Amino acid sequence: MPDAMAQPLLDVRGLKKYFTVGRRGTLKAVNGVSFSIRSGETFGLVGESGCGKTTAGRVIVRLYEPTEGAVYYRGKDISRLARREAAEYTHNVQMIFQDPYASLDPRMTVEAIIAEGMRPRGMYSRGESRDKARELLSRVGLSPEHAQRFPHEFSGGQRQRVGVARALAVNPELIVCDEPVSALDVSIQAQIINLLRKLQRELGLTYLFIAHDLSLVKYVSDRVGVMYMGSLVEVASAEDLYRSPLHPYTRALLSAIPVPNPIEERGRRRVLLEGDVPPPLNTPDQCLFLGRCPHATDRCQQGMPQLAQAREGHWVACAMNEELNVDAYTI
Amino acid sequence: MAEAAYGVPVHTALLSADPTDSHTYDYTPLPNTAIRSGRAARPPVSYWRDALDRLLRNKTAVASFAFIILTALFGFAGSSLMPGFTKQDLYNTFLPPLSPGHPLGTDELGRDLLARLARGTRISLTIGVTVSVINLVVGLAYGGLSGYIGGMADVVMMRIVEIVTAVPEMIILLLLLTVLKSGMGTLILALCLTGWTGMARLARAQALQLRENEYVLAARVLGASRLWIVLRHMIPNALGPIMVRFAMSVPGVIFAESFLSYIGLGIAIPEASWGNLAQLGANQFPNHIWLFFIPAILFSLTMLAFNLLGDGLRDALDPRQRR
Ligand SMILES: Nc1ncnc2c1ncn2[C@@H]1O[C@H](COP(=O)(O)OP(=O)(O)OP(=O)(O)O)[C@@H](O)[C@H]1O
Ligand SMILES: [Mg+2]
Repeated sequence: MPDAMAQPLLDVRGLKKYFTVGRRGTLKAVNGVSFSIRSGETFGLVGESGCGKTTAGRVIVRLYEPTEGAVYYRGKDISRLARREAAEYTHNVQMIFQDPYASLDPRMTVEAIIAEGMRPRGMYSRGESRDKARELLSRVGLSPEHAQRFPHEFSGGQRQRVGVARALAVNPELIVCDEPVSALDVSIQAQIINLLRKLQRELGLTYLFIAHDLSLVKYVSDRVGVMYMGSLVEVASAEDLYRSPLHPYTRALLSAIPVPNPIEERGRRRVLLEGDVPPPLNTPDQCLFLGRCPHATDRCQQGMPQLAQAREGHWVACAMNEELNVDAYTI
Repeated sequence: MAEAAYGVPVHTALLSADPTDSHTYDYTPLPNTAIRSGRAARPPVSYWRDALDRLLRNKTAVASFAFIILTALFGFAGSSLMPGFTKQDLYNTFLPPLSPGHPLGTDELGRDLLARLARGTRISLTIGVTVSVINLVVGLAYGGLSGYIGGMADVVMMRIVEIVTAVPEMIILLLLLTVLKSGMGTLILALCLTGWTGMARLARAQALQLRENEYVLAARVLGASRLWIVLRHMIPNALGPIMVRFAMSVPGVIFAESFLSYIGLGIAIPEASWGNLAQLGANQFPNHIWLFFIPAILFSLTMLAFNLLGDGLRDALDPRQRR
């Protein structure tokens, strides 16, 4: 099917989501983001806290209406779906939430939580959805005997497994994983990540994997988008991004990751982030990284640069791209 | 090289290198008693069933509830059986408790204290429960709607609540009670006009908070309808605090009624209520202390029982208390 090859599963085009805060303030949580996700891949979205990752994810699962731009799923604008199609969309695209303590209703049994998405479909009888919930429990590595327990009886990692099972219950194609492990212990993180990878292999899932931890994103993702203050500043394959980051912000983020080898660690050059993150309220029309960028010039004041392809499959939004590209391999 | 510089940090080393070897199970023992008590798996129980079980296991709450029921029985059955609560007998004034024909004695006009106490209990409980129920319904509807609609309607509705709260309660009460004919209806109206705002605020806060909760978002992502979300997630999760507030509001209303009756603005003699019984008793204070203490003790115990029941409800409705 050459058609399916050409068409990405999810296509995000010029997405903007503004929030009104206070009387007149406009908070540009997502400010013109474009990327696409191919079927079966994991697209990582990284960035500091508050850069708009969750907001972007929530627009994709239709919790928020986009202010501008659109999200296309299999070529269809998700804001313009007919009733039937919208219902179908909720089964194709699911979400795993960041906080496994807040994302499970404390007053429902695990079985009821997992069965929640099967109910509106009316596809299963009570007994069938119960059986399916139990099957999902073992699929995510929990005992089916725990079906009648309440969330508070489980550890954080176990709760997150319940969250995964709930998303799987409707047989989705794409799952938006919003920092699914950042609330968990490091040792538990690995288990959940491995579970997600196993499920991806077994079920052919596509992931939008949101995280603020670059090393984790590198591990799980095929391609990575780096977000800064509501904009994507760089998109590339995970390999390419880590080997030769182009945007000064990406470089700074990468150099902040510690290396296990102490000798290597001592010899590394660190690019430290200086300056502050400007408040995302009523932002000026210039490169948003300007205040913190070590390479800033006058050109950077002429609007936020657009993503441009610097190399095959490697996109960067930087006015100084040409110049910086030269030493990309030498830093 | 760059790869080395941006190498794999410590914790990814924990991730299994071979993705085929990643089927990990997370069978940490669960903190519960199901295994100890010999049951492999708990039989399916609904949330409400479970909450009721927990309430019934709480001895204080059960005792408080029993006490409230007995008091209500005494008030309603007792006042029907002893209709002569206004009957005077000037030959037998100030009889002490345990006198023949008058188990709790008589007051300064020779009226039977037991009959008056039963009548007073009936009036006070009726006012306390009626006002609390009206406030609950009005507050829930108003606050829930305000929080649920949000936007401009919410702003306007909450301004109204602020205005009502800003006027001192006593001024509204005194004004209404002096303008209107005194009696139970007026008292209920007055207490409702000032009392609904607390529940409205609580309901709104709950609606706003729950609406943004991640499990509500998860339900929306799963395609749940608004009605389902309200019925299945928002109401059950808001109900705990709301029922606790309700149970605690009954003694508050009774106290307000008693206070108003005590200062002569509420229930007027010869009608009886806990407040005016205590007031009459207080007039005879040093000489005939039972006239004050008997109604005061029943009143205090009932207040305590409602508060303890409220506590028990809060615990029972919190699934983290599940044992
Ligand atoms: N409903 C909302 N109303 C107003 N502002 C919001 C809302 N949701 C998010 N924001 C703001 O939008 C910005 C982006 O938030 P978002 O939650 O998308 O960030 P994030 O990248 O997911 O951060 P984190 O890593 O902390 O989860 C933040 O400044 C946040 O305060
Ligand atoms: Mg987030």
